[in-house]
Amino acid sequence: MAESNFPQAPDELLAGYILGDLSSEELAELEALLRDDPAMQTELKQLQAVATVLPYGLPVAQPAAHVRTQVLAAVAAAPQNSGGRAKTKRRRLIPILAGSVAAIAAIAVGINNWQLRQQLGAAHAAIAQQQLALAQQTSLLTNQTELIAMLQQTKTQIMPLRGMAQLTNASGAAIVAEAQPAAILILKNLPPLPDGKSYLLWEVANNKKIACGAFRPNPQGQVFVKMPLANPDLTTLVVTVEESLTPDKPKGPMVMSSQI
Amino acid sequence: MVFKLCCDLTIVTHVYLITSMVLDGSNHNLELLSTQTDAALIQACQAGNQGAIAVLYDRYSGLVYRLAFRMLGNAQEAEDLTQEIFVNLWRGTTYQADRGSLSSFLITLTRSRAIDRLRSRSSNFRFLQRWSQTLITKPAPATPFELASLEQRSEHVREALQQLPDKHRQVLELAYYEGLSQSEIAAQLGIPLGTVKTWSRQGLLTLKTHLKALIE
Repeated sequence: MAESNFPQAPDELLAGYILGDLSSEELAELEALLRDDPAMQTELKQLQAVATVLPYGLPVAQPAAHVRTQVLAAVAAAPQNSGGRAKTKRRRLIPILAGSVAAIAAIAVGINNWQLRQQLGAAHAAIAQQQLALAQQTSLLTNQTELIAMLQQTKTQIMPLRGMAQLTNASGAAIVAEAQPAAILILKNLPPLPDGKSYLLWEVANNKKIACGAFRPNPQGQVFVKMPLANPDLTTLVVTVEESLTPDKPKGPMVMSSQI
Repeated sequence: MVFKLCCDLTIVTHVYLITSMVLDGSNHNLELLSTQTDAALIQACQAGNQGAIAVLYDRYSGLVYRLAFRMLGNAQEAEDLTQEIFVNLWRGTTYQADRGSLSSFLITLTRSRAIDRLRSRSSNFRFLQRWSQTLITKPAPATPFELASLEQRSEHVREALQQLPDKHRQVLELAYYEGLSQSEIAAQLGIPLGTVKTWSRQGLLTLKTHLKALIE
């Protein structure tokens, strides 16, 4: 191409790099310029910044309200670091983003910082995993300790819960201590629910149903969770399947009850 | 009565997060969270605070959506991508504050994912992968641009774009939003490849001149 036969202004080379239109000769020329010139490295970063702010110039638009609801439901259904899915996403993202970072670093300083960053990133990820595992162990231990404390009290009720309708295999119990407005729920054989749906525990007191909270079984269909209660004088506990995490009253099917 | 307690450890954490969201006064929390910086909110997300992702969504969903809508051309797909970006932000935590601003990260990620979707529409579609798939690599204090509100940022960029000759703006937009290579742009507009290069480079440099005070 004619234009590459002539020396180009450094600015032109930088813009060409950002736009991805440099020939290999131009790329080598830019590399040499960047290596010794901090001012040019700054220029390069500024041009990158320009490239990432372009969308601000687009007409203002907002996604429909249901998108927010769906995002928050997906977030509630998939808490942090919940397993393989999150890890897969992470692996896929790193090459897209860090790959280009590596190119810049190699040009600007001639050192492949990217590998160091990746190692550091992996170390951070390992530490985060360890912290998560510790937090989970602590939560489990807390639940077990509380369960033991509840069972040691004299006024503790064990309310068996049985599956109904399509969940006849589901079984378990709620441990309710008079001294504290909470129940520990221990269930098994609960099938997984599709995204957007949750099991909800309800307490029935004075013929009123009050939502205690939502829960999801683990992959083995088991539940072991402490749920707060509004009224310790409850007569019945029921479990329904709901789309909303905060319904005023049960709308979905009742799948377990303590009164069968 | 003896119950089997060997549940998967993660279930305990899951359920606590869900119940805490349902039961605590989440409106109050959102109010407090909405005053936090992006970096603090990302940390809160990583600690499992679901209110933090709600605040980030409120802050940046419009920006992500308008880019997705411009690139994909329909509301349904743009909403789908917007949802994917924020759910991934929650799950993936690939964003690192020391590599640049969250808004730059979200724009880069949205553009990259939109290009993936455009590419999956047509195997003949060619893409300019390097164009802007870069992040600011050095830890930097917030620039005046980042401190400005979304509306102010939009105003600045629109003003800067208006300073460009139409032909420069056109080639930049074709490369950025349509993912077209420069030779494809040349073919589409019926102009020489060298001209496309010159216009797009000059367009970018002019933009930088007008936005310089805000981004450095």
